[in-house]
Order: sequence, then structure tokens, then C-alpha cells
Amino acid sequence: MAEIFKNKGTALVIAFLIMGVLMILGVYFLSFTLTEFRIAKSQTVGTQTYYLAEAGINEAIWKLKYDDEWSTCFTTSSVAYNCDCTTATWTASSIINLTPNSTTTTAIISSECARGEITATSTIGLAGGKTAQRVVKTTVYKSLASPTAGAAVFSGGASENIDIKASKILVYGNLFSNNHINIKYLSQVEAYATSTGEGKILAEGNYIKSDYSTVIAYAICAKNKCWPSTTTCSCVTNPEDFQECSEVGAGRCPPKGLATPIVDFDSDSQYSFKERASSTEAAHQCSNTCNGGTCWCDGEPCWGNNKCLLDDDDFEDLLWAAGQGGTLTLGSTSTPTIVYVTGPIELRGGRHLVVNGALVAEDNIKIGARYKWKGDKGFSQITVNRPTETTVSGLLTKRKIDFGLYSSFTTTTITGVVYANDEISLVSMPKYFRVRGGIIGRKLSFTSVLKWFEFILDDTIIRYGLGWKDELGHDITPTYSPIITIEHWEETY
Amino acid sequence: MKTQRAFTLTEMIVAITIFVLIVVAVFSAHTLSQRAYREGERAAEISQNGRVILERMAREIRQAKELVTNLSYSETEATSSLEFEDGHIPIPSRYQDLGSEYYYIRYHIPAGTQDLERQYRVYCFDSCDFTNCQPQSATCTNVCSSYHRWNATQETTPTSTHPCVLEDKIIGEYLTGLGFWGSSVISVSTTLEKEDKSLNLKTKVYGRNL
Repeated sequence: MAEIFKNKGTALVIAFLIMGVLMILGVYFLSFTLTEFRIAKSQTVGTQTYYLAEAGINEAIWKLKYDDEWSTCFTTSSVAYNCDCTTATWTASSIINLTPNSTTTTAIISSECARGEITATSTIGLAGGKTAQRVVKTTVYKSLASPTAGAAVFSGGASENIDIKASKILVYGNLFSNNHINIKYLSQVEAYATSTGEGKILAEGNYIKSDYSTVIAYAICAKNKCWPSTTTCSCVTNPEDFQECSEVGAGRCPPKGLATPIVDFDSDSQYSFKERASSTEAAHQCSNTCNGGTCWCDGEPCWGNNKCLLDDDDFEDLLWAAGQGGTLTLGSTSTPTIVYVTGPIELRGGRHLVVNGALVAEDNIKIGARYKWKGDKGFSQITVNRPTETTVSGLLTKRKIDFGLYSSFTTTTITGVVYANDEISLVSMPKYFRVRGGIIGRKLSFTSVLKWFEFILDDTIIRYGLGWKDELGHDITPTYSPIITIEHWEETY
Repeated sequence: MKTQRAFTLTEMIVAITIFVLIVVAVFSAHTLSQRAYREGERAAEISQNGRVILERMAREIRQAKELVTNLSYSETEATSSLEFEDGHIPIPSRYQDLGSEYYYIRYHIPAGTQDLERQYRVYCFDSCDFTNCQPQSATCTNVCSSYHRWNATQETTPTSTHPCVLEDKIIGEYLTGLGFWGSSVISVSTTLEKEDKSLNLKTKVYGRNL
């Protein structure tokens, strides 16, 4: 080893080696410095661009709620704005300049009605003509709103009430009145939660209960009642659904008023009940049977056997043909139909009417209000079936529905919507009465005496029953929740 | 006597000069990199503080029920503090037995500090009593006899409410500027500084209940 250092030029080599090491160190430190500088700069600008992009997203969500064009085109069609969410995608954009050297461009592209993707791109100008950019994407949508605000029992008349007298009522969902709710004469009302109705008793007006009646509910929210608390009544969490929340301290927490959901009975639209019944009839898909076979009228097959669009006389002929103790079946489980009657319907004289689908009338519907019909007599009965998941089912009228003293000889089961533009009255029904779907009227009167009325909320059944969905499952008149849901977000660079 | 050869003076001077130059260069580079590293740390720290501040405020403003502070529409007239009614339900929490329907949150920078303070408070007509509402206690009750909205009035004296601060917490540092303006979409501007580093963050928050 010592020999190496005796050679000439050794010092020079060692010097070069040491200098080389020092140079490498120097270059490393310089590189480290530059990297740190870039990281610091990037972090700063990255944070700034992120929050500017977030500002764009917030601005877009506000526009979806309050800007006329954005809110209209997001969920419906408009000639003024040349958009139609059902047939074409809709796009819109806006630009905000929150800081002098920055731009945030927000764009929305709707993929279908009430669903779209918001993209906010923010850029900040840097020295040397460079720019920093951040892109934030958010998917937003609106859910279909419950047609009855989560109510299985719904009264929409502004000056009408829900009157419950000497009745036992079991509700799975909410009970809603657009005016007062009166519970009297030893009534027993129980409301329990479902997936969309919390089991509340909601009255836009007053809640009046007699001392001897009992009520079980998740909450009672009315103009004069806020039980057990404003929090339970959702005044705190959902102020959009409630009015006068500023006065919750005074025990006032009524829900906002809601009108009766609209049903298209007989317009020229292909989706009105009358037109749908007519087109089913034209397609030869209507089939009404008496006691499992053909209905005979005066020795000949009844005119209404293969009809879905009938007048009240034709429908009465079918009922008469069924005979005392007989059954008239509208449609079948394999081919459910909408039967539209252009007059009143009265079920009496010991008939059983089975509806596979929907029975719609332009005038009053009376079930078991009278015991006798000419020479026939007996308790009558109606059953409404919903054979498939896309069947329009229920009992609907432009006027009143009246279930009377002779309206059942066994449990009444209606899987569909019971809907009346006017009053629905259920008086002293002799047997258990069950509706899966909902009961909707301008005014509701219940007097059950001994038997229970059971109402189970099902928003899907209500949507089909009101004719808001067709047999293929398409939404005809969708109503969306006011809440904009943010489904997913991601950041890209 | 055998003569011994050595480096000349010139050689020595040149060698030492080169060595010193290289050492100085390397040392300078090292110092520079250290300074850059510290600057990076400061940038990260104020950036992190900025993120925490904006995320916290955005979450609470988004759910706010009512603004107490009257905001202007332009940035030039922005206010440096913001108070609003809390839209979150304080249950379960230490306030679940307090009995108030109204809780308010106020963000501001106390004078002489660079901290963002978050006050959680209620409004009362009578004086505040914190005997049963100590900061370290798990429950908080009986701060005053009744709780009201911030702008409630009564006919007897005192005719207007005053705030009782239940909590007073620092949620961010290095804040030298804070501004709020706008209405339902509230614009927020924050300026953070630490030594020579500064960061200005601006965003907008949509208050879904405002």
C-alpha cells in the first residue's frame, strides 16, 4: 500500500477523486433544492386549484336548484331552452373568476333525466406562461319523490280533513292531512315506519284527538302539536319539508301543504287511463269473466265481455250476469288490464268483484252500500290484485268512493292505490280491510267500529296506480325529490 | 545529506484555493437545500392548516340553517367573521341535555393572533352560568334558564339576547386574513402566512338550507 503513494502523480489522482466526490455532493444538494422548491410550489398551487374547482362544483349545485335553465333542463324538457332530458343529453357550462389569475370552468353533462356529471376545471396562471390545473368531477342525481311524501294515508284537500271515528287503523308509513286530523270516539291509530315513511302523523292544520282515543306514532307534527320533539318532526334536519320552523319553540311544526297527486283520467294523452283502456281493448287484450266463464246477458254473451272501456250500464250488466254469490273478474292474472267506466259503479246484492289491474270510474264508486239489488241480496266484496311488478292496479274515481256496511264477507285486500278526487269513506266495514300501496283522497272518513283498517305504504305501487308509470316501467310524469344527491366524486390532474 | 523534494508554494496555493472553492460551493449548496427543505415544510404546514380550516368551515356552512352575519355581495366588502345557526344535531354529545333548540357557530380571528377560533354558543336573555358546563366535563346543562334564537326579543328587560359561549377552540394557525361574502353560495377567502411563506385559498360553499 505504501508503494502506491511513492509513485509520481498519485496526489493528483487522489485530489481529483476528492474533488469528484465533492462535486457530486454539490450537484446532489442543488438537485435536492430544486426538487423541494418544485414540491413546495406544486403543493401550494395544487391546494389553490383544488378549492377553486370545489367552488365551481358548489356553484353548479346551486344552479341546479335555483337557476331556471339548469333546474328545468336537468329534469324536464323545455322549448325555451331547447332541451329535452328524455331524448338527448343536455350540457351547460359557466365560468367564475374568483382570483385575478385564475379561471374555473364548470360544465354539466346529463346522461338521463335528473342524472348528470359535473366537471369543474380550475386553472391558475404561473410565471413563464405555465398553468396549474385541477379537475374535480361529481356525479349528481335526484331521486324520484314519494307521490304522497311517504304517506300511506293521504288527504290533499286544503279545507278537508282526515276524520277517524271509533276506528282501529294501522298504518305502515305516514298519515298526512293537508288540513286537520280528527281522531275521536275511542279510536286506536298506530303508525309505524317503512323504508320511505317514518311512521309520522302529519297535519298541515291541527291535530285533534279525544281523551279516550289512543295513538302510537314515531312523531306527531301539526300546527298545534310537535311531539315528541322538533327534532323528531324533522324540523331541524329537513326544514325544506316543514313550514314555520322558526316557531318550533312554540310547539308548532306543521309540514308544508301538499295537494292531491294528479291523475290523468281522460285527456287525449296516450297515457290517460281512458286512452290506455281504449288501446288495450283495440289490441283485443280485454277479458272479463263471470264465475270463471263467459258472462251471459239475456241469453247472449254480454257486450262488455271483451271490453275495457264501458259505460255504467254495460258494467252493471256484467255485475248482474255474475249473479248473487257470483264473481266478476276483470282481466286475468296473466293479462291484467285497466277497465275504464264512463259512469258510476255500484257493487251490491252479494257480488264479488275481482280486479286484476285497475278499475277506473268517472263517477262515484259504491261498494256494499246496499244489501239488496232487485231480488238478489248479500254482502258484496272487492279484491284488487297486482299480478306483476309493472301492473297498474287500484280503484280510482274522479268523484267519491264509498265502502259501506255490506262491503265485505271476508278480508278485503287491495294491492294498488285507492284514489278519489273527492271523498273516500269507509264506514262500519264488517271485515278486516287491507290496502298495500296507499289511499289518497281529497277527504278521508274512517269509521271501522270493530275491525282493523290496515294501510301499507308502497311508493312503487302508488306510482303505477296513479298512472305515473307505464306497463314497461317508464316514468310518465316523474316528480323528483328537491334534494340533489352527490353520488361520487374524484379528482384528476 | 539527501535532499527531499516537496510542493512548491505556488502548487500549494493553487491546490488550497481550488479545495476551498469546492468546499464553499458544496457548503452553499447544502445550506440552500436546507433552506429549501425548511421552506417546503412551511409551505406544507400552511397548506395543511388551510385545508383543515376550509374543510371544517365548508362542512358546517353547507349544513347551516340560518346566517347571523350579514354578508355583502362583493369581496371588497367581505366580513372577517361568520356566524350561523348550526344545522347538525348535537346528539349524542355533551349538549344533549342542555335543552336548546338553537346552537350557533362563529368563526373569527381573535385580535393579536393568527389563529382561527371556532365558538360554539347559544343565546339567552339572562346571564350565562357555566357551573354545570365546565370545558372538561362530559355534560353541559343549565347555562341559562331558557335558550332562544339569536334575534329573539322580549318586552321585559333585557329586551334582546346575548351569546353564551359553550366552546372556544382553535382549529387552525397562521391565519392572517379571513373573508366571507355572497349569499346562498358563500365565498370564503383565507390568507395564511408563516415567516416568508404565504398562501391565499379561495372557494365557494353552497349552504343547502340557506
